[in-house]
Amino acid sequence: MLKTEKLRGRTGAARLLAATILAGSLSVVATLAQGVELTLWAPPTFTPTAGLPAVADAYKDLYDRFQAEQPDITLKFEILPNGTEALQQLLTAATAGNLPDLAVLDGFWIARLVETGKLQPLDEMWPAEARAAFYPQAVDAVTFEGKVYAAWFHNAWRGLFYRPSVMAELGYTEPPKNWDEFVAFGEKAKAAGKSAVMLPASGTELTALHMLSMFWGLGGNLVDDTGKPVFFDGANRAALEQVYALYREMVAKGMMPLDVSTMDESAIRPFFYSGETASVAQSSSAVTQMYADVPDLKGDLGAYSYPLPGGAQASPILVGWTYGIFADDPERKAAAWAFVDFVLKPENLGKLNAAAGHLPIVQSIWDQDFYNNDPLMQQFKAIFDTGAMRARPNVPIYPTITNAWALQMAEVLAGNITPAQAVDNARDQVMTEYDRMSSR
Amino acid sequence: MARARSANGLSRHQYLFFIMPAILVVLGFTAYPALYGIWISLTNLHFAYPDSRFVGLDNYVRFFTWPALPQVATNTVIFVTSVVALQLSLGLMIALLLNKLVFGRRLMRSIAILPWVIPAVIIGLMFQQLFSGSKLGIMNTVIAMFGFETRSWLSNPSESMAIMIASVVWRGVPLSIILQLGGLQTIRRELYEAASIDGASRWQVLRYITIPSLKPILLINLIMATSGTLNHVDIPLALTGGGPGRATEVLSLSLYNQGFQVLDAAYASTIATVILIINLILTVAYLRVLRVPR
Repeated sequence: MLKTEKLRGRTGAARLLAATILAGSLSVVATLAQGVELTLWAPPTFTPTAGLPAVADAYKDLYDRFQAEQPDITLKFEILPNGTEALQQLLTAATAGNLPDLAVLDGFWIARLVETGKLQPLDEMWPAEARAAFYPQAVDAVTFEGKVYAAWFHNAWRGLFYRPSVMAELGYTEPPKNWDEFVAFGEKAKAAGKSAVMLPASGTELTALHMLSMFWGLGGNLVDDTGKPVFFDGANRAALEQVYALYREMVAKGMMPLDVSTMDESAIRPFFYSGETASVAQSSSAVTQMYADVPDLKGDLGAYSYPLPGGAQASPILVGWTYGIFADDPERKAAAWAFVDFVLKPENLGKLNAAAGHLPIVQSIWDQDFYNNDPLMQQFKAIFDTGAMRARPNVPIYPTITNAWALQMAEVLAGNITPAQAVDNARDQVMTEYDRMSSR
Repeated sequence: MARARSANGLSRHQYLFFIMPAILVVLGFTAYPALYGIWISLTNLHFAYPDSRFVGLDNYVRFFTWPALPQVATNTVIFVTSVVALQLSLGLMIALLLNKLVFGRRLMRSIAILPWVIPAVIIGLMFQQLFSGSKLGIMNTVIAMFGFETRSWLSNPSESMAIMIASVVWRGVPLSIILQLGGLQTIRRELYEAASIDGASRWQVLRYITIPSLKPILLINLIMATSGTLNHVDIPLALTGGGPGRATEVLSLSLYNQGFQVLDAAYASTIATVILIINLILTVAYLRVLRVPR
């Protein structure tokens, strides 16, 4: 009897719960039926105003198809500035309470935006099975206290690019695989009047990103589990000193010109176009631009990881952009997720990734024609298939570390300071700042 | 009690009423941001952290004990003095030439102003292409045509500073031309005629008539050029990014790096406040030294 009453009670509660969920769902549907105007903030590159016509067209097509599929949601996009100015704009908007419903966010900002308490977790809307289609590192990097706060939508790779035709002229059928082969390759390139390689070495984060890939490959760690910088201790120090030493050796052996000390990735490209260098450090995201600059490169461009000593393999770094939702009103949040979900569908995301030349973060996209039929893209796939990809640590001291690393490079290349001094200088700069920030 | 009234019949309160919109605009868009920036410099606001608190003069102590300060300050002095001196003198020379032109003055004036209308960041990128160390660099193409070896212009600290100064001067000279040409056209012809009758040489005319008459304009130009150069970030950022090493890093670039790369808003505001104070000191000094008699 008691059991039956309990069961009745449970059934009643279940009915009540079901009715509540149904009412809630109906309410969402009813509101959507009335129409929701969503505001999306995004850098121009990820909107129909993108500079590259193919990308602009892909976004315009995507927005149009979304509007056709969801006539009750009106998507209004506003342009965010490029770079960290956008983060400042978002933080200001968070304080002022005028954030958009959703935004395109650099994957590296998510930790900071979670701290504002305004970025909404996506778990309830984004089932674990759907997340499993992504590279796990891309989900882990935006997961805090068990909740996922953003959806990554593309990736990029930084490493060395070469022209197979130039390699063939130098007597190579494939690029060098380790440091010794690379040095021998440098000698051949030098004899042919070329530098072997050019890596950006100006004082920006880009320089540090290339260094970081080698540093991780050599077994180094930037920070410990508590977020404290440790790159200057023990094996980490040895790895960083070795990275600086490799750069210096490339200049000292005439494999790389000293000019790189003021150059970023875009400033180096002309040397590659003119054949003055046999290989060049770039991001895979620049490939579309390179094809636009020199159409002959299409079909004559290959990629290889930094050859490192001792059989070490450089680590690919997870970089790229995500969608995040700020709307906390259930109806607006549902509408915002409807858009993000639409973008993330492999058939849609694949088109956007391909138009921009971005690398997929959804693994099945590698099988789409654009990626499957392009040997260069298959080379990228092989690099990511190693599973060695790592995300930049989400710690506040990270920008100070990359700034300190990059600032030492010009002096190392010129031979004015040793790699050990460079690590000491970087340590002093970073730890002064870390101690100051720790006492906040 | 009789109210103070001016010659046009407006009372002091009426004056205040009419100039109030301008005062509000200046207070809202200039004074408030400047004061807020000074306040931020007294906190530890950093965009990577959610909270901030008052830290007094800590950031100023940090700034004045910053190991790179001597180099950055020296770079800034070289950069600002060279740009201002060249901008004013070249501006004056070209304005004098244009003032002599009988035909085509308008056309030449329009051509001279062109660099001023190009966004500074584009000029930085243009000069980067011009002086690229690649064979594809425009200067290298030109010197190669004459049989010289190509050079890596921007990797040499002195050359990169010289190129940075040249690019900022190239953009700033048109403003000097326009200001000084306007000033030249207000100088009364009778003064030149009297000097000519008295047998004054060209140099004497320039020294005793032209330059003294242009003093108010030169003062405005000097203040604008100095503050503009001290605050200038676009061209150094696009052209050299402060490199090689810190060879071309000037204070405005340090400010940018701290604010937008390291995200340390308080330290960036500290540098901005220091730049503001330098600007104020220089402006007062200019006004005193080049005082224009009423």
